[in-house]
Amino acid sequence: MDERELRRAFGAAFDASRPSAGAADRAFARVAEDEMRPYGTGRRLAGAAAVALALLVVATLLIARGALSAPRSTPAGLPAPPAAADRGWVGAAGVPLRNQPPPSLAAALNDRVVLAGLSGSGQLELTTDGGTTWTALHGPVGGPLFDLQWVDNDTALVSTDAGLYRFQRSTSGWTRMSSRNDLVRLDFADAVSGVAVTAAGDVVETQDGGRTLTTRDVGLHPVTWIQWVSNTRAWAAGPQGIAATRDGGATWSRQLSFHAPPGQAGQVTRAQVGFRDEANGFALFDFVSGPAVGFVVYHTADGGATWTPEGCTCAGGAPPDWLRGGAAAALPWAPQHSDLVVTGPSSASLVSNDVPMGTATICSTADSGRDWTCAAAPYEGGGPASIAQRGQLWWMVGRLGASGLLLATSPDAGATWTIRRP
Amino acid sequence: MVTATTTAELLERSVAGDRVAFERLFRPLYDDAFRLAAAMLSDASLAEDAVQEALFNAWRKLHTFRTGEDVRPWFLTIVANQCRSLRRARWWSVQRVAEVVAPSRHDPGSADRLDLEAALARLPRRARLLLVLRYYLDMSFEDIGAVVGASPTAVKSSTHRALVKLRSEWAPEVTD
Repeated sequence: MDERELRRAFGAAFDASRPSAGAADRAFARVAEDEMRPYGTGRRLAGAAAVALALLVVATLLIARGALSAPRSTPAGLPAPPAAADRGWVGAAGVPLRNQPPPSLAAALNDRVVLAGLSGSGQLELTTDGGTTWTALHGPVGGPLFDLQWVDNDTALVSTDAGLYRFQRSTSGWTRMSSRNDLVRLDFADAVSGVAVTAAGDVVETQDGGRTLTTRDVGLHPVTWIQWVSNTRAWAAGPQGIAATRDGGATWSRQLSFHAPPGQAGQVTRAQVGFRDEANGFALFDFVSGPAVGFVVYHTADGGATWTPEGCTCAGGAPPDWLRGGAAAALPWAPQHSDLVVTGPSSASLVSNDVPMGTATICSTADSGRDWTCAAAPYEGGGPASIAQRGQLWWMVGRLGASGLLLATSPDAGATWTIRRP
Repeated sequence: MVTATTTAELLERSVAGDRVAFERLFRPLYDDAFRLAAAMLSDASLAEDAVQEALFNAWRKLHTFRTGEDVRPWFLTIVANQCRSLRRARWWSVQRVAEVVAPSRHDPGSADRLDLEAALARLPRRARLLLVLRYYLDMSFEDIGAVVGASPTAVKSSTHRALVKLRSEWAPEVTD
């Protein structure tokens, strides 16, 4: 294929993509609405000097507080990270660290193409027609699943107990990218670069699709969740709190640190963050104290400069006041819940799973977690479910007795559901 | 077509805060900017967002533009950087999705198109950018160098390596 043919191929691949009507007008309208004028030379120099001085003052203050630099060694008081070879789920002091995968997984590429699976059995299925038909995926992956993520319109990464695999939808082919069998959460920007959280709470990074994984210090350990919203901004969450980066991971700073009172029974076992953009996000913290379990939802509207506890399942002393803060007891209690799915700057949903009762409740908030509206999930006798959302369609994946995968879709943000299988 | 003389005038007026002049200067670049963003992000909606943000950034940074240089590569640099930032936007990673191609572009009969997109997506970002600028936007090595901050010679060499890599990832059907 010569260069002329190559150019034709590029044109054929991308020319069909067009901006929507009025897109250019909207773009320039935004410029027209900008209240700031571009600076002239004199104002530019003065402005730059003022900004530089302000930054110097702020930096000096932050350095004095020890907040700017990522810690180079384990801060006093925190447990030493587990050995890299330890793939166990156990955290500090023998309390189980809930850094394990959820029971069910869903990854929606668009409203038609979805991967769904059960982490325990490793059952994995693919639909390309919006859930009408499903194809069981077989290959080298036969054991437990940990995470699924589409990294482009043809490629999904599947983290399993047998390693990290790349699945190509066009060829139905599998490629083993890494023998690491402890990658419980994936956050890849594309098929080549990304990060993962390990079972031991480490953060690893790759620039070659997962073949090489390098541990990164994010100023927090253990980590149970990490999320990037841009090339420069990311948040990592764990039982100790939340850390964030503004410079692509070069430095990390703590945004939220938990200080349990002496003699506090129980501990935070898992944390999750979910950001809609660089400003608005949620965090979810699980707390376990003996038989008592509970979780608290926090929210930020300023990129994590301030985190406010908004809602919780609060019963039997879990979570304790130092974690709960002023959160309202607005969520129904259940021993398990799915990952939080952030659907807007102030809105999110999750599935509360009352496993012993075999019931599930879908709860949604539209006011940053303060108030929740809950409705019964569209099945009975089912196991823990998870939800995923992309575009107009919501997807629910769960385990339904001997029937295996339960899959349902909702076109109206969870108000109504259609069971797709069984 | 905006002549060199009027470009200088439009630029001067834009820097002074004339939004009409700014639009006259950059409106002709919108289509190329969208094509670049669409090829880098494989998503028309995201591409719109990237170009809109890039235009806003160009408006705010116009005072840094060096008079006498070509505004097109300067602006496409801003677009490319905005794409890079957006590509890491993982707010939906909680829902386990990726940047997607608009469904309407999925022609079941065009396996080659899908293969090329998939092959491009597997390349490092810089390689993808070089190939898109060269073979989709038809830019010269000089102009590409202005976008990526490298000499034309270096760009030519890097583009060749990227092309070799692309060909190893992509095997279009050969029709007689």
